[in-house]
Amino acid sequence: MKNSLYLLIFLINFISLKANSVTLKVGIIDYPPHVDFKNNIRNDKAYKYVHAILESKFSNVEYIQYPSKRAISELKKGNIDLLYPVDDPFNKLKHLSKAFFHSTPGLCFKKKNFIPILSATHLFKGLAIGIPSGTKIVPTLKSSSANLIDIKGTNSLNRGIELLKLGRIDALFHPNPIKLYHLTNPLSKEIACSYFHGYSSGVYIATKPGMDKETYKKIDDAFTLALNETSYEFYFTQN
Amino acid sequence: MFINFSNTYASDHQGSINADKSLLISEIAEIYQASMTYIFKNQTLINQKGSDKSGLFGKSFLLNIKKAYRTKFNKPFPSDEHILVKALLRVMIEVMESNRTLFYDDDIQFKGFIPAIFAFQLSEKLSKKGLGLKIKFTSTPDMIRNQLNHPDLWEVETMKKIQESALPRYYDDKAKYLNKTAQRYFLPVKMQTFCLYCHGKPENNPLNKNRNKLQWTNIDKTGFPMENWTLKDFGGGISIIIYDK
Repeated sequence: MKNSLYLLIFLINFISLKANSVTLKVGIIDYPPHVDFKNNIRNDKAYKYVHAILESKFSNVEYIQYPSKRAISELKKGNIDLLYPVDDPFNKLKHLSKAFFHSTPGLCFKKKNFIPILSATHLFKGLAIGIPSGTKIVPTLKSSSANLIDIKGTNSLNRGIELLKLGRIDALFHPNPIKLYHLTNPLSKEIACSYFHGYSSGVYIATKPGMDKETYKKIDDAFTLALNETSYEFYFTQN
Repeated sequence: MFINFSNTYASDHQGSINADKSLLISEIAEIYQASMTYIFKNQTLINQKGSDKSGLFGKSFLLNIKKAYRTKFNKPFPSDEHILVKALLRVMIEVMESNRTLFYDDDIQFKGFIPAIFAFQLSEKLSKKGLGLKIKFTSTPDMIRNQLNHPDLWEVETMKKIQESALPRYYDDKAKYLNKTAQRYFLPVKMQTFCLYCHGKPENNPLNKNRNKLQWTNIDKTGFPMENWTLKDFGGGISIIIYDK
């Protein structure tokens, strides 16, 4: 992993213009297991990857952790220059040209009810599947015989998890189940999630509105080069 | 230009380029097939509780795939220097890593990580890399379970030719994909006994082992109704497209 990172930094520096003295403000959103606010985010692979690229371009880079909604608001106001990881399809934020990584929607179950292969949609018949408000479900789920239950409220995802744990619903649709179902989340002892493969979408590094073209290009070129050489998704697999 | 591989030869420069291209695309198909075989052969490990599963991840996994390739095709593993081969191997590691939580979930007895699912995840991840490489494990429209693997017109026509003339493979270096110049390749996969565990008759279903015939189910381990296929049926195949980005 270290070798990949050194190569990445070398490549970026090799083609890089001299780092300027502007401070770049970068907002970070909790997105486990890539960014986990429960730990020091500087130990997260996403941080290491992003920082290796940005520090070669900017002499000062400041990172600020935000709750998701506040982060988007700060970005829209131009108080931060970049924000990651962003998969918000509703705010139509401007972002770098290549996806940082990809996320796949899925269903979460109590383990005894686990359905591993979600293309077997006939197994959804009669199941009460919670749909957190504001989430866009995949066509195969929409056209299935499942009983889709709209979970309302501002914190509908967490409410959905509680309903699942209580057995009030059979499954919960989640736009990014990896946030729940990963080895370091204690919740993974109770629930398991499977994925709607074929419906993944990009998770991006968003940029503030009105970022000057030169700065955008500098950052975008650096990330494109790095992602082409060693994608973050591959970097994430390395120990 | 359609080439049945048995007729491929390189007698001039252009022929040589075509041979190189067709060699690469066939190697990609074979690596993909070898990886599916490895996943099948390791179903016990994948579904086992508390085992050392390190061989399913990272460099160990690639070493295992290379070994599976050598065993299956009785020849050395191709060079992994080519960008597309390198990308395919890296994506395999990504796919396995993205299933780590599931593999180590001892409460889930059957993980559902069968060769077709592995292949589909591999294809999806590859398609996002922007490399101009698309791989699909597909079959004739009436034999498809996951509609996202539905064959396109080229694949339907190619499978028809392969079945009619018993071709071992099919290569087309003058194809189009998304209105772009493309090379396309189809490697038919022979129906194997293990395919019938899910797609065969109830007597092939491992869930029915040691059960009274009256209690047999025609639903396979993955939850799909079995199709009653036999070893004589067409087993679909691996479709590869290399296209201009």
